[in-house]
Amino acid sequence: MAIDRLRDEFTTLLGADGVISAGPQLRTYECDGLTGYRVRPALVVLPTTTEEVAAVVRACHRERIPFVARGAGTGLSGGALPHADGVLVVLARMRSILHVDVDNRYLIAEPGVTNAAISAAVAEHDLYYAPDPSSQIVCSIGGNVAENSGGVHCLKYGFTTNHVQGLEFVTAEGEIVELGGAVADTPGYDLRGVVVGSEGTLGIVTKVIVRLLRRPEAVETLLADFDTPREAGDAVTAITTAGIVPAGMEMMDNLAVQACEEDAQVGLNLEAGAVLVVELDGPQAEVSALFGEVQRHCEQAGATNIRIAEDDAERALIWKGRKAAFAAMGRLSRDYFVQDGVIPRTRLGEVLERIGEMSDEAGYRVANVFHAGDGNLHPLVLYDGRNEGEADEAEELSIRIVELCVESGGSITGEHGVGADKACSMPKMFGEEDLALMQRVRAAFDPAGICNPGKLFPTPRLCGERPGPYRAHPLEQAGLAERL
Amino acid sequence: MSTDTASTLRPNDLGEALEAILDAAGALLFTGGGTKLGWGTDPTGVDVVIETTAMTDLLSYDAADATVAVQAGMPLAQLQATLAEHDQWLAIDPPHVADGATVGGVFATNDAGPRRLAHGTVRDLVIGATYVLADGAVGRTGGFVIKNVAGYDMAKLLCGSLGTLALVAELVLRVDPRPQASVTLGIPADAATAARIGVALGGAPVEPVAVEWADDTVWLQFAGHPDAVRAQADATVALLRRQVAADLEADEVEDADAVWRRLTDGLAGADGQTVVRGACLPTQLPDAAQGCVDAAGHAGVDVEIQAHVLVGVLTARVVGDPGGHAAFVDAWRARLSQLGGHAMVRRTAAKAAGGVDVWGSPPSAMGLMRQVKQQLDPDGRCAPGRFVGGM
Ligand SMILES: Cc1cc2nc3c(=O)[nH]c(=O)nc-3n(C[C@H](O)[C@H](O)[C@H](O)COP(=O)(O)OP(=O)(O)OC[C@H]3O[C@@H](n4cnc5c(N)ncnc54)[C@H](O)[C@@H]3O)c2cc1C
Repeated sequence: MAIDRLRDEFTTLLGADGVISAGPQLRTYECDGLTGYRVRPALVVLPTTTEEVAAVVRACHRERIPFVARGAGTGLSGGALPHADGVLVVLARMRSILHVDVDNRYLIAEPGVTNAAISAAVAEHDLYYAPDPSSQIVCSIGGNVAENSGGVHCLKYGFTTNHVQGLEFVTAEGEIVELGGAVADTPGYDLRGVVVGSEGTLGIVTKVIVRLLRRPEAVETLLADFDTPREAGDAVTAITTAGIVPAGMEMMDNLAVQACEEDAQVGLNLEAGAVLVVELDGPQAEVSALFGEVQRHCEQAGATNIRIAEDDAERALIWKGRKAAFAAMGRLSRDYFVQDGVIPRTRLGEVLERIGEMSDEAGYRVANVFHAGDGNLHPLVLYDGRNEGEADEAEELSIRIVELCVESGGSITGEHGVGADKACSMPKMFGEEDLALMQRVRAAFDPAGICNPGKLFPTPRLCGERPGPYRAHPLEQAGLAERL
Repeated sequence: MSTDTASTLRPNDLGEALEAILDAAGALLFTGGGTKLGWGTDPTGVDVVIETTAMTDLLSYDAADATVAVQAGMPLAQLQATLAEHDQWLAIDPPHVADGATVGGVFATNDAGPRRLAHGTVRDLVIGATYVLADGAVGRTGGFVIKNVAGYDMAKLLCGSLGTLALVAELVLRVDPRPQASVTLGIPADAATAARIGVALGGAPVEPVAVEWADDTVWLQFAGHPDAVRAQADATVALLRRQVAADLEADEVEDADAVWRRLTDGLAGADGQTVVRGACLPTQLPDAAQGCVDAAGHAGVDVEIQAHVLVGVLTARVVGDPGGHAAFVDAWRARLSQLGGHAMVRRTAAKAAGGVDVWGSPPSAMGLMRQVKQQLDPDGRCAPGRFVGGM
């Protein structure tokens, strides 16, 4: 069989310890961070060079065997979910930083380098890599590229796509090409821009050129307590309409506060209906001039208490608490579903109240911890999988929440990606023709359809025979835009 | 550009644009304000021009959400005026704004100005787009929120594609607060000093929004809170005196608007000039600039240079004997390629037209680019031959 041929070929190519085809080790790779979905791959390979990746892909292409790239496996949408009859290409052994250019402020990393390792490697030069997903200690830069990952500082600094200048890329046919580069404005179509966020469906990233930023001179962080999420939402709107772009602006509701506090002992107010974290950074004079304004806006919106981080240690503790939010949820509930919907940030208060009502109606607690500045919600629906039917009901609530986001003018995903998880929700955001055009791009990159198939796009097999009904975008309903 | 025999259509909206495309036969050319028709190789045998200048509506604008949706033909100047009423702006400063450059045209060329240092180009600011292919397929990508990773980011593909894939009909953009104040400094500097200033600034906790080298001067701009811009400018001068030259002169510029207008216009060049955009790593600026002067000497032409110092992009305006322009382009491009950089021609002096190689040798991903073109414009009807590799 083809897969047996490939196993032998890959063993010759990568050595015995570069191929896993049986045994308990395979189980490690059954799922990514979306642990509810599990598939055992036919074969796992662990290449160490670009040439090895290209050779693996060429062989898969020759045999028409599907392959799936995997970084650290922290993805939350099942993007790295293996294919049962396919090859899982694990990039974790490609973890060298190949080149650092301090004066031109960029760095070239292999895809398996962790996000945090990049900033650590250039910290001595006061440089850093801006996008900082909460999973940064483990997630890989290759995975970040595939998901166009965000983080708590993306409000001011932008997402992965704004910080990745170039890629070395193995096409789905096994060719090695460069997309973009360290030098600006490379001629041709911006294929780099398409590959970023394409969730491993176009090819395999084997090198990443990232832009580095100088550490800001000053940073100020505050925690503001509010009685209700709506008031915290009002503060968010007041700050942004005043023309202030905070480095980060994060909100936690009461349930999330309780979980984080128990986990990280930040000293959060357990009585607060919502806590807002606002961070400003930049030149000292700029930060000093604006930080007072931020405090004033919080007070005017009804903040009951404002705590200002005294030093870097306290700031680090606050962020540790915030970034541990998902993990901390385990203390409140045995199981939970995480959503990643986005809404226009001006609708925060209203949407949060509606989520509260939906939670009451369904009888499941929902904790909210999210990137308030850009309206990216992470509602966590808490349930106990041991009780018959709870998982299904909780998932249903979780899906209704994300639909509410789309109806409010937003998106089904702000940073976790579509993957296997939300492929069937794509028709809620896009019409058939929109998706067909994206599929044409996919066909240009992967004519054989073997590169991470079954992800991102709805398929009849995945979503039932009929694709979900198309719903008019709210702007269309309002007559502001029309679809033909 | 030879479109004399072509008919021109001016649809009012997406629906009419689609109809125009469905009705049209043969080769299509999509245009906005027509300020950058000289970019790319001259397309061959255009039958129908579809011009977006009647598509100027503001579709939606929510200042508190900092997002705006427009029809592609809206003049950038008009959009900026609307946003200014709410102390906001689309954070780009490309040339040709006063000549009627449209938002869609700036998007299709990814044209930019000195402020790209702080905000990136329009590519970084587009959050959604609606586009029409030559076969009449209409696609929407992105959405109306700043953060969104659902589906492929088709807008990236269309941005800078010179209308060779699709007509961009509508765009959704993120906008920024308009800085309350700014300060501009002028610092006399040759190319080597300019590069050293760049390295010093890049490694320091100051945040200039533009660093442009032209007329043997580095022009530095700071923008933000009124109290802060002055402090930043002072801190920067002190830093440069420490790190670059103790006797460095730095004067605050009085008529800053006029200076930046002139620098922005310089990126576009003028009739009779060939304008070449070169790129290299920022620290290679002195080599690239010297290479430019050498190439001009070799080709027997005169050249004026300016550069986005911290971005590593140079603009050369070639004047003098049109017969030498092609030789200049080849010679400078060869030097830039040795540095790992590249050059693209942005405008060709009429008489020099024929011999100038606009794009240079194709990029390593040319095969993939052709497959993308093949998928989205299989009959090669959108601006045939205009793009890299003859696409
Ligand atoms: C606790 C926790 C917190 C998180 N917080 C955030 C957050 O704040 N912001 C955020 O954006 N995300 C967050 N995530 C999600 C996740 O960490 C990111 O999506 C991350 O980028 C995934 O990286 P990875 O290396 O784990 O990729 P994987 O999970 O291994 O893969 C993700 C996708 O990328 C593809 N892929 C991986 N490597 C490559 C490659 N080299 N070439 C091509 N395709 C590739 C895979 O096929 C898959 O589709 C969080 C996850 C967890 C568990």
